[in-house]
Amino acid sequence: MAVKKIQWDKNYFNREYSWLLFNDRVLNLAADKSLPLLERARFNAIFSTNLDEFFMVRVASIIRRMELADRRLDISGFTPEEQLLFVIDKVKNQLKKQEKIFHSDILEAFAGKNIFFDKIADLTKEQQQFVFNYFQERIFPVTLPMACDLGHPFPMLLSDQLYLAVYSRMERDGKRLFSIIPIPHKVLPRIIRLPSAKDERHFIMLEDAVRAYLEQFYIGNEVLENTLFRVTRDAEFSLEDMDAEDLRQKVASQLKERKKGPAVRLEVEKSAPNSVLKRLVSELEIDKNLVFKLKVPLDFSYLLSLYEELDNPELKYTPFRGKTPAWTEKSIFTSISKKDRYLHHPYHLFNPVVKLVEEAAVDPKVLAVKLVLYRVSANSPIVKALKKAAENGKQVSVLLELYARFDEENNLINAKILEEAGCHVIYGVVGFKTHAKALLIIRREAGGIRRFVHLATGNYNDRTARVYSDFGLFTVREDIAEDVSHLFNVITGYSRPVRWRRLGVAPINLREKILELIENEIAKSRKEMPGHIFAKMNSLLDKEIIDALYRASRSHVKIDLVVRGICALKPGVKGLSENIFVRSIVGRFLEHARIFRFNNNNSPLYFISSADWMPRNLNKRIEALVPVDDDEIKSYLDRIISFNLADNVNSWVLLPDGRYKRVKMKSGEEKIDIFENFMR
Amino acid sequence: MLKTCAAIDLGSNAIRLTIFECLPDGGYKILESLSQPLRLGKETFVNLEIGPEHFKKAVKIIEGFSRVMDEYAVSTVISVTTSAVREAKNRLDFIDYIQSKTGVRLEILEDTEETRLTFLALERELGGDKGYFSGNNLIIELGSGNVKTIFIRDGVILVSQLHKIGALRVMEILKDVNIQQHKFEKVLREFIRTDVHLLREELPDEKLDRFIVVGALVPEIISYISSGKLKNKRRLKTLELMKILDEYGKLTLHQFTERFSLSQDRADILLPSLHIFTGFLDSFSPREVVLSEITLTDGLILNLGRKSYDFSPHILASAEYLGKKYFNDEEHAAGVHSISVEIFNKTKSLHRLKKGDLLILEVAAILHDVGRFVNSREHHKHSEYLIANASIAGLTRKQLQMAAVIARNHRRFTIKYGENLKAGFSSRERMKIRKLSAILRLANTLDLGHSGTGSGVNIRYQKKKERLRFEIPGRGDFQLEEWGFNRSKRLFEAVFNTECQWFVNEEL
Repeated sequence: MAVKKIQWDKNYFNREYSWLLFNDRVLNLAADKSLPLLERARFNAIFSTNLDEFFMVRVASIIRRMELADRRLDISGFTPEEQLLFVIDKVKNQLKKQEKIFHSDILEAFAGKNIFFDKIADLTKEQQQFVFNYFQERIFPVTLPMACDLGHPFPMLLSDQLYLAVYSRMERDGKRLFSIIPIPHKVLPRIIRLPSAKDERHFIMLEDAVRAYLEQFYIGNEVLENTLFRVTRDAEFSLEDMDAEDLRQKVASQLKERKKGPAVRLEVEKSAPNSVLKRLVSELEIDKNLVFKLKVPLDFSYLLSLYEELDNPELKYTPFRGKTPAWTEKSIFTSISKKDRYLHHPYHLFNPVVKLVEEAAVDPKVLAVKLVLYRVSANSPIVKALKKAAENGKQVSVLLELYARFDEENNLINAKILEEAGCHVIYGVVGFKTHAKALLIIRREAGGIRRFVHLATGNYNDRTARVYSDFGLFTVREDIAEDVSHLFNVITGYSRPVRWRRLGVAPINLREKILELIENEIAKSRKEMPGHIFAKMNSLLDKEIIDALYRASRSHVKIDLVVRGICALKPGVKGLSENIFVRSIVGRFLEHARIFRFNNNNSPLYFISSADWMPRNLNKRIEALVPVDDDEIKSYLDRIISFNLADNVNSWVLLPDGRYKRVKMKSGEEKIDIFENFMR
Repeated sequence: MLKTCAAIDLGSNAIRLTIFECLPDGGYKILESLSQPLRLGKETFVNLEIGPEHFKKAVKIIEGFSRVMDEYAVSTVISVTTSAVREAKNRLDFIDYIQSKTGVRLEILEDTEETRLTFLALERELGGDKGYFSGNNLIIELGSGNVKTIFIRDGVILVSQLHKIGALRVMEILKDVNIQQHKFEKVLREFIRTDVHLLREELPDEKLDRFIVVGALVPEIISYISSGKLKNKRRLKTLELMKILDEYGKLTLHQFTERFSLSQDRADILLPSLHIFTGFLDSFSPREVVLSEITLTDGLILNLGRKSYDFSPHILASAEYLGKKYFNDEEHAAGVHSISVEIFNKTKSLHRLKKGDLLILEVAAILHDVGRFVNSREHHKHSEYLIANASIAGLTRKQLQMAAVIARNHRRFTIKYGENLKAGFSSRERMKIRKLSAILRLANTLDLGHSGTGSGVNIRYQKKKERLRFEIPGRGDFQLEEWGFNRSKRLFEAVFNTECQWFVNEEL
């Protein structure tokens, strides 16, 4: 299926295509020989897991719209059918590139480091015996072939699961039998480490071990052919008409359902015979265009386990542990009372946030603790601290967003722990995901009630805080604290929105506030004294805001956007956006902070936010835009901003034609690596 | 440690919670403001009853509020409700239910108390040196059930009224009448304008300096019709406002709903409110319109912190204005008023009544003769119902009824206790009525000739002799007063067990 050169819309790029280009940049890191080998393997895996999610969510959505005959065009003017065509085309190209990078590049490099991924035929006798024993003892007991014949209907194949499709011949009547064997990679490691010579490390893939002894499942029959494949299913579920009370139960049951949504992708190994392919396509009711024939191994996520498994520091980034600022050494309450404070993760550790909740748990002056949890880690220290606070008689309210995609299972477990400890757990506002990151502590001090607030761009997740670059602000400012209290009252359903003194809150007034800020910049911009907007986010897709930015560009406002992922805005187009520059930073840490600065006639206004400028975030989520008032923090944000714009190691520039060009150090230019700089 | 308090206000459209800290200087700091929609008004104003769904909804909301109050360790809660509950037949069931489920006991505020609280808050926001209260002002509060008006002159309340022409109520009344679709808006406009015009007649026929508009409805209308341009403006010239209002006043309900993309529910309130407001503007033509953001809660909070705030000047001014409306003999009223106050003050150790009781006596003294407006014969009876049915901000219905009964008792020997008004008084209240009636009756006799006699009388309470002595100047002719005194002192003597002596003092 060839796609002609895509005719992009005059003013906007396509969302899906733009996302695929982001994943391209990730894949480029896998190809980047200047990076340590295991990091490259990790990026290769991230490219794949990203793509899995893209199919489960985005491609699924396109297909759903096609099935509903929804002919509405996207922001860039394409129908769902057109989008699906160029998405598939682009993905196929990317996969070719990935194959090349992995097989002739990364694997070779591993071999160069004496790390081998062997096929069964390559093994020594001793190793073969090891695999056989492993098969007998570990694999065989947990693996069950499912026959598909007249008496056995085609089984429900789960998403994210590797299978073998096997044709065998029955000895007694010579009939061909079709059956499916799930590879037990959910219960056993996907890579099996083999006994090896001292300086070498050998691995074999779990599926290859299964295939080596496949006949063990078909004693008395002859195995004719076997094909490795993997299905990806639609992961979205509908939330409409759901009563909040049932939310937890519904999420739990839907989690099971997720694995059974309609198939949106079928990956099969390249050598798959037509008969197998035909059978799978017909049973899965999947469009042929959504079948991808790939070189094995399928599903690169195992490289993430390999990363953990291999103790080769020379093949990884130099280990890095964030610092704790001096103010966190004393009582956090005291420090915040004196002035606003900030944390810049992962360069600062997440511990002070946990410490604040821990202090609150035992502080007799603390009356209440409220927190929004979106993505929580398993064994979360924050959850432990909240539990302790509740046990100590504090009023603890936790808004736990059950619908944090792909983290629902963790969240369900945490919900139970918190409820049992006596916390008041709320499961969000039906129809709106709560994405704002906010912590509020109410403390009764000698001078009256004082509210301590932490507002951030990232989740209360100690693990992701080690790899996501995020920004958190602590303050006791009355106006902000009042807004945060009110935000909690709104999301707990105790109040409708009444008024906001400082915060912008989606879906109520956040977009309006951003538009106001842009308009204000336009009003104050002159040709001789142009305005300036800096905006850093993960994705930019909101048409109203993009149009406002175009207007600003035409009014001489210089606009620097640092958009890591999707960007529907076209920069540098004459008469439209010639004053807009877009770059994307992709590298060691995941750029996740949303930071904004509006020049405002040389009295700049600074904000941090949980929200991307996407319709989803501004219309269907509860998000916050937080003003930053403290001069020291503003200067620090200035520093972040200048490194974002100066980085010449991890940055890509978006061109008017939609391509991204890697920023290269010019000769004689100093190397500026945003990550290294903040790690110092 | 500062005290954290909360105020709950269950209104016609919403239920609000405000959590605040009482500051040492008597001020307050708001910590939280919560609001949840609860449309009791729609039900009460039409069915005169609150439905079971709303019982449950109210409980659910208050439970949520309680949780937030717990988070602040709130120690004092004031919880009130207004017309939507006040007018419901099952109001007591509702209040008991809420209390049994949530522990929160709602107090039903009377309209005059609401007015007083609104005024308290407004005075803080706009009064004093701020200049908004100078001259003649009409405070208007547009609600969904009622429209409240307070006429103030130089900061003092003269008249306060409640008009049952709130938007929702008007719509419901008109929906019951079979009006042809295309005539609906015309009838609506005329209905409202007639009512507003009649109301104009009851207020002083003087040029108005400004409207002070309380509540969110008018700002919301102005924000819509000015496309947000006048959204945050708090002070507007009438002319500028009339220009934009007129244009939209002609729209049908359907057009209005479409034009501003409103829900039917919202349009049902906003369009009639627009007509009510323009009706007021047309009838009064004030110089300017000031929009205030205060709410009843502000008044409640202020009231908590400012117990000592003296509202009596407003009450007395309103009573005097009411007297004027009924062509009262102002000189006599003033005379009886001042003698009553003097007797009251001189006999404090005897009657042991409080300042609030004096206020009731004062109102009765000022208004005791208003019944003459109806007929001089049996005028004390007419005074009774005229006063009882008046509305004076700051006086509760009970206080006003007491004043009415006391005014009635200024004549005839037998003491009445509001039997005609069907006012049920407690024994304690009846005791007060007796005492205050006795004082008023004596005061009235001292100015029987309506000649201002009382001004020269010297009143002395001789505790040891258990005697109240009225020293009369020797030079005047006070035979009529003396005759009356001897008749009316019997009540005083009986109530207080104290002799009343008429003593002509030649030296005076």
